[in-house]
Amino acid sequence: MSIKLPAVIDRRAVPGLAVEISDTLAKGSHLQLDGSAVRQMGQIGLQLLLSAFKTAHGRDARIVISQPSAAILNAAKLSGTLDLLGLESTHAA
Amino acid sequence: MQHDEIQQIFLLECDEGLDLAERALLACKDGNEDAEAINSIFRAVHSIKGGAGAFGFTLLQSFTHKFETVLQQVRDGDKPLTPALLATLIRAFDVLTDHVSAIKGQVDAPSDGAISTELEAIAESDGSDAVQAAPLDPVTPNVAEEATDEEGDIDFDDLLAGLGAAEPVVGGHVLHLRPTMRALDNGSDPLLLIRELNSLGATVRTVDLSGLPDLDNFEPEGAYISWEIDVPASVSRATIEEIFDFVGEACGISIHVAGEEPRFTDVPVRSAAPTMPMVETAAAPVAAKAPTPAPAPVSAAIEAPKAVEAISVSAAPEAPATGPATQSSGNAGPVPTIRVDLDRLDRLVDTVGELVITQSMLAQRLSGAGVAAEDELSQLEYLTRELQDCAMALRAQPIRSVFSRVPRIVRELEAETGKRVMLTVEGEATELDKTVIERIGEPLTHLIRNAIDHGLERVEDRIAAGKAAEGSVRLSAEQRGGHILINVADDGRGIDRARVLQKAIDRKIVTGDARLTDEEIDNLIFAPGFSTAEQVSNISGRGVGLDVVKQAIQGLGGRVSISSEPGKGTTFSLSLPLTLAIADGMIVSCGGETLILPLNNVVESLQAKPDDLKRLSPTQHVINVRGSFLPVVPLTSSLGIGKTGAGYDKSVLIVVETESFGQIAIQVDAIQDQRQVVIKSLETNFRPITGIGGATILGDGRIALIVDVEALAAAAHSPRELDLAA
Repeated sequence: MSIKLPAVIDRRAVPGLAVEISDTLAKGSHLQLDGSAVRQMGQIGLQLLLSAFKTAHGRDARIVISQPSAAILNAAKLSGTLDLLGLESTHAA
Repeated sequence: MQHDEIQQIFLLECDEGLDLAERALLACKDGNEDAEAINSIFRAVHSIKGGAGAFGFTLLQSFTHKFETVLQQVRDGDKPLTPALLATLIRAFDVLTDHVSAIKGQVDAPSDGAISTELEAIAESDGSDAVQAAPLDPVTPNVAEEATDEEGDIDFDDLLAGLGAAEPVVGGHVLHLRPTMRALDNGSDPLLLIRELNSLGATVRTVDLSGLPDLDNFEPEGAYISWEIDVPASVSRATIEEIFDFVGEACGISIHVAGEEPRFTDVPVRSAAPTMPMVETAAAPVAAKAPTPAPAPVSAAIEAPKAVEAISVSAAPEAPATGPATQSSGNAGPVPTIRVDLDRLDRLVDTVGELVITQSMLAQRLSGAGVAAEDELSQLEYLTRELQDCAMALRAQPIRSVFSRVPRIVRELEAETGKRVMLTVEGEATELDKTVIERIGEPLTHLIRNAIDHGLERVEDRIAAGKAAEGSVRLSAEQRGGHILINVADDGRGIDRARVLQKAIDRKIVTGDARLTDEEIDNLIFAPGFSTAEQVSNISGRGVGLDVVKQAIQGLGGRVSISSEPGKGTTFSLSLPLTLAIADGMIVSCGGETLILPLNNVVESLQAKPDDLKRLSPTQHVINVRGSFLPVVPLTSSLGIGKTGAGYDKSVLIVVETESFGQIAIQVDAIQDQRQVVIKSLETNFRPITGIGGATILGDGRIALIVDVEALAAAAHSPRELDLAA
């Protein structure tokens, strides 16, 4: 299962996205978040992704962010959460 | 410090930020854009947004948020800085300036709907539309951000090399940043603060996710992440605190020197990793640091579960950014400044003025008593003058604050008139008294408008005349002796003297048979109600303006003059005093009184011969001065201070230049001296008196009135008595 993250992950986008991710996790144990389109993401979006990872862990599920955009990587890098979001391996890839 | 005081500081910093941002925008417009220019604009807008949020200026905060978003994308290299985008940013800047003026109560809040929509559209665009096309030049991204691109081709060498090296920077600071639940209100984003720190070389050391809920309990408004950040020793504590100046209570912070205990703990500081709160998990063991997984393609459908449970994470140190980091280092920082309440400053200046008077009185008293203390008196006089110069310098401000408004005026006029203008500004650092600065803005604005509206030709006319399509307007300031000279010069059509003269005749400003010099014709445009505009426009041509300009400049003790050459352009020159508190004066005696004539009005003094005088009426005479007949104004009768003790042949006539009435000859009994005088306001200390511009205290302790030469000339040209005579 996969969810394509929107271009802007802000206060307006987060509530729907949180429900969508939660519902998708409830349906399966694997979720891929396509981050290629994300162009704007601050702390709100970052928290959502971290919460999604935490939720997945609590449900014995897995999440991976595929094709993370520069906006995602910048936010993760700045905040020191690259490895929490599984994004440090992007470099290795 | 009270809330109002803090807010006042915020407003001052808004002005400073806007000034820096405008200069950076104009640098970009001139093709000098670089990463630091974009960063300057971003930092200014970001700071204003932060302060706006702290003080509840929601409209300003909302607008700056949209502006900042686009700037961030430009800074990150997500959006190329095209000419079209730059034009949008400049328009957004103008609206931002209006927003700041609105929170100061100077204007109503601007209508920002259109530009907001434009900014939002740009922010959400993918960078392929017309606005984004044709970048001016690649903007070099900040070192901190240049590691990534859209394809995920990330250069993390430095990042990976630093993994695990999370020891505090030796001699640096450790900053604990804990956003509160209000931290994301109104578009605020603590990540921007971290970005600001990051640009100074700071790196996240640990991340605290203890408060992070799962998705079922996730509130978009909540701020759930805290950080421990290492800041290099090159960054001063003040610089760090500056970043958080206007964050208010939205973020709790504490700062302490690396390796030492925190000096203050207004915010609970989480200590070492073992005691760090952990993300709740029953299954996974707690790890002090997230294990680094084996490299795997990110496109793989499924990865092993990440160790998200570990909340104490070593962040990868990054190479310190260039530019800002070096600028912020202790020794290379800006000159320290302190803000002083203006009342205190004025009290100091006033007291120093009193000291000058007292010193002068002392010198006169000792001299009269035959006390020989020349060395001491000389030294005292020198020191007093030094102190006076220093005190006056405290009130001096660079004229930049006035000149900085001009680019916007030019932009607006370009849009309104369709003319193209190349603005050149010189001498922005020239300093003037604060009061002069505050009152010079309006007249200067009008001169700029006049230069563009009347002076410069339309593009097609310029091309037809063999000129460049783009007109030139040059604004300059320089100090010349005790005055500041401000020039507003254009390379337009010059003054059409035939048309000006005809208009003046039509309006009965001059008679049809008047024979005027070019200079006199040029000066007709300062006559009240004079206008040659064919159509009344928003810009000028309402018949008011240049006469008001002249009055305003005269009110400041200055003068305005014109030089114009047909087809080549016109220059308006404003000569302004450096200060309004001190003036050079000619001390004269008249009818037993001692009076001061402002020296900058004095042209010459004469001992009249009987043949030079012509009687017009029992009370009116003129004097022939090298072929020109000047009205003679007896100071005694004009001011009602008694009768002059001497006839015309024994008195002294002092020829003075006035702006409105040309030269007049003032009759006094004798000239006593010439010296600097400290001006005391009659309006403030007594009441305004027509004909008297102020007062001063002489060395012998007597009060001397300072003559308002303009009012005296006006009274000489109209049969009325001055207040003092009443």
